Amino acid sequence: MGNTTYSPQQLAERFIDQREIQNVMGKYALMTMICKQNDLVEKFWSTKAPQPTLALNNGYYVGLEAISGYYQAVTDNLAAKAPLMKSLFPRQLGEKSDDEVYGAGEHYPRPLTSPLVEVAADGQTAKGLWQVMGADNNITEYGPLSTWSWGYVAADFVLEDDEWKIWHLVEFTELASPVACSWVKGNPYPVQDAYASLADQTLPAPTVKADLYEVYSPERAYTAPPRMPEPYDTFAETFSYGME
Amino acid sequence: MRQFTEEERIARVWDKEEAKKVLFRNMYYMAGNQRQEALDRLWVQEPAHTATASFGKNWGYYIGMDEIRRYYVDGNPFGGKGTMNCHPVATIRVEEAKDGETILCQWYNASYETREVNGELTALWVCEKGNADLVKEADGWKIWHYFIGTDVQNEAGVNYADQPVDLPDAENPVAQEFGEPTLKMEAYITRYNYYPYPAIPEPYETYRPELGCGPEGNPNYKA
Repeated sequence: MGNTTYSPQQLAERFIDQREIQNVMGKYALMTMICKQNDLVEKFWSTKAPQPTLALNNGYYVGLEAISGYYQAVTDNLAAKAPLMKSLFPRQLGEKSDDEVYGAGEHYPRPLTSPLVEVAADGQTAKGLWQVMGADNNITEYGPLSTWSWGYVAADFVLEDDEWKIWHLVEFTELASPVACSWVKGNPYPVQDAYASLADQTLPAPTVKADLYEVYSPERAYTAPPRMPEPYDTFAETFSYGME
Repeated sequence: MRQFTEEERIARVWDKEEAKKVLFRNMYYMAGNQRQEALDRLWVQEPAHTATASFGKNWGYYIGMDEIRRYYVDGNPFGGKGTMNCHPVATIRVEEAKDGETILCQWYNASYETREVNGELTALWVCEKGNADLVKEADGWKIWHYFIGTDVQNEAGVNYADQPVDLPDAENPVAQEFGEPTLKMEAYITRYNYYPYPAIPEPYETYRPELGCGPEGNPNYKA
């Protein structure tokens, strides 16, 4: 598997495919940074591939409806912060509508590094793995807080109507720890009364609950990143980032 | 200046993509604590290269694959409960020799590690300039020389300014981990932040040791 040799024309096309796939994930990361989670499924996800999945540390969201539901909940949680933000920052936000305040105080950069992309020899699917050196700068029950959010993103892609679309997406958080702190020692910040209600925000449970990746703690056993893509000929010959 | 055909040009584009993948895979193997697999798959295998393969850090070089294994695998400080590491490859640049036999690479890591320091699990920032010389073998591009210049190692949540100037090696967990290399020397100097080695890769015709990140390219090297 994966020993196909290519003509110069094919190599050029495969280079473009690799570049396009990196563009898809770059756009995806930027969209989450600017709090456009609600647009992700429509823009980036395959509508034709069987059983699309979004895998987080605690399980799989299976099917576009479940994936959309997850992102809708993220969006709703952001929107629900608007009245609180207006009351806490009346001078800056008090005259704004809730829609205008949406996203205030939130910033989720997700720089993608170490891109490892393999396009199938048949050119119909591709796989990618990235390391994420992210940060969550947001309004939490601890007040405004910056948190390192490091981890890995992996995905299967499918060529659909000449565009690369996400089929299976894995987003594993390796470490979530306030900046300027030791992640061995944990979060030193107490819940603040004015923000305490934010602890009640929830997200829908995964369609299939599973302990897919444990967030770092000093008690965690050594944990490897998701499996690396390897050169392959057809998707049937390789592993899947979806539920197997 | 040498001119390339269109076929040669796309082959060279692909070579550079493959070279970058070698370094990305190396990072994932490292994060996965699969160091032996990294040596077996990504490093040179042909005898013409294995004897001169090198793995350097600020304090010298391990030379030859057996020595590299002694450091990188036998001396691996990771794997225990609560340990982890990630050295993301960012800001990478690669230059392929005009003869197509070698590729010089350089990147930067803003890395994180959790390891035992003085018996306590410790969170560390480790900032590193990485270089590698890759050579073409029968089954693809392989790491021949690898050099990590550590600019900063600092406990997370602790002000770097609180760290002693000229931190003694005995108090530097990265220096302690590096152990006793085959060739012990001052290989990377951080005091003035302009040490010229390893050089930024520039276009070149064919490999010469002084271009690369092996010991012979180091200005402090004495034959």
